[in-house]
Amino acid sequence: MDQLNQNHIYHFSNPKQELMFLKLTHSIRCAVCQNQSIADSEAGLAVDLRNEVYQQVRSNKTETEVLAFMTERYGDSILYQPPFHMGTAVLWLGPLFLMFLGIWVFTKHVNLKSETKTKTKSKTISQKNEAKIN
Amino acid sequence: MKDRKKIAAKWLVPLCLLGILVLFLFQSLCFKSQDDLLTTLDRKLPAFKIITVEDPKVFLTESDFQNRVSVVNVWASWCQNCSQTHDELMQLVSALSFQHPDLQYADMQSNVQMIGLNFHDTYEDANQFLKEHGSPYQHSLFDGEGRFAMDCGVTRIPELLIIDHQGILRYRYSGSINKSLWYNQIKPRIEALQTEHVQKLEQSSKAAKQQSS
Repeated sequence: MDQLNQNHIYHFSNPKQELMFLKLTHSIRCAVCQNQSIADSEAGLAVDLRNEVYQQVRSNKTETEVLAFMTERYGDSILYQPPFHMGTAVLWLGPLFLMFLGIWVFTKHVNLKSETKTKTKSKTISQKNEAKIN
Repeated sequence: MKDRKKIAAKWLVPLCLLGILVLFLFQSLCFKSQDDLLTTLDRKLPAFKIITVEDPKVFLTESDFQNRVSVVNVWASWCQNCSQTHDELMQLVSALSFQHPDLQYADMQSNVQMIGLNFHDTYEDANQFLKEHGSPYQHSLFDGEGRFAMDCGVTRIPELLIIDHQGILRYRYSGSINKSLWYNQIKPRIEALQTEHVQKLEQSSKAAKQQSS
């Protein structure tokens, strides 16, 4: 359940800010919970961070500024979508690599099977032909 | 025989991969990783002005974190898990001859100060707690709304921070402190920062001498 609407009431001067607040709170991980965003959690830290995001959105900070504030203090792991750099390259490219590896193995496997099939087929045909000739 | 060998070869690779995967998962399951906490180190703490738990008229600012190593323990009166760290620090403070007001290691030249950071508490509870249980801190900052703790990147308490002579956050340990942890993890880091500082001072004095000559 979304805890946002239940306990705190946040007021915004325009709908744009509200949308930004919702987007941000859903994209920031509650660092002490198991897979909950700060929008979903009632943990102390999540409440603090939510209020902080609210204050910053109200004072017209941009999205990148708010996210920079968070990563500076809590590291990249606070974001649901970690940025791409050397440390996270494996995370981003790993699945892609595995997918291509899978495709490669699959096509090789299929080719091998069809080759042996055609070989055996041609063999039987040639045997039959030989038998006919004889 | 040939078939058996073939089958064995066929299963060897996936089995090895599975083994590696299981080992990896077990390792992540069993050993608590502090790595994610280390990413937010080595940055200067922002300016602040915070009252102390001991006396609401006394303020500490960022300048109080200059020119000495500060060991900051984040605690709260409601935090059950903090009591072990509290007891440990109490013992250490007496054992290591930390002396108020300027805590000093007997075997070290520069100052080390033990600072408390009271986290999400009421002033009365925090004050009462230190009166009842004693204080290992030179000062304990009162951070009722957790704003300063947020600047330090504190996620859960107890947490221990080490701040260097320039007011830069250099190390954090999340969890309770015991004696072996103190001597194996915390004290060597304090000493390393001390020697780093002494070396820096020597270098700058050398440079100054060279310039004057």
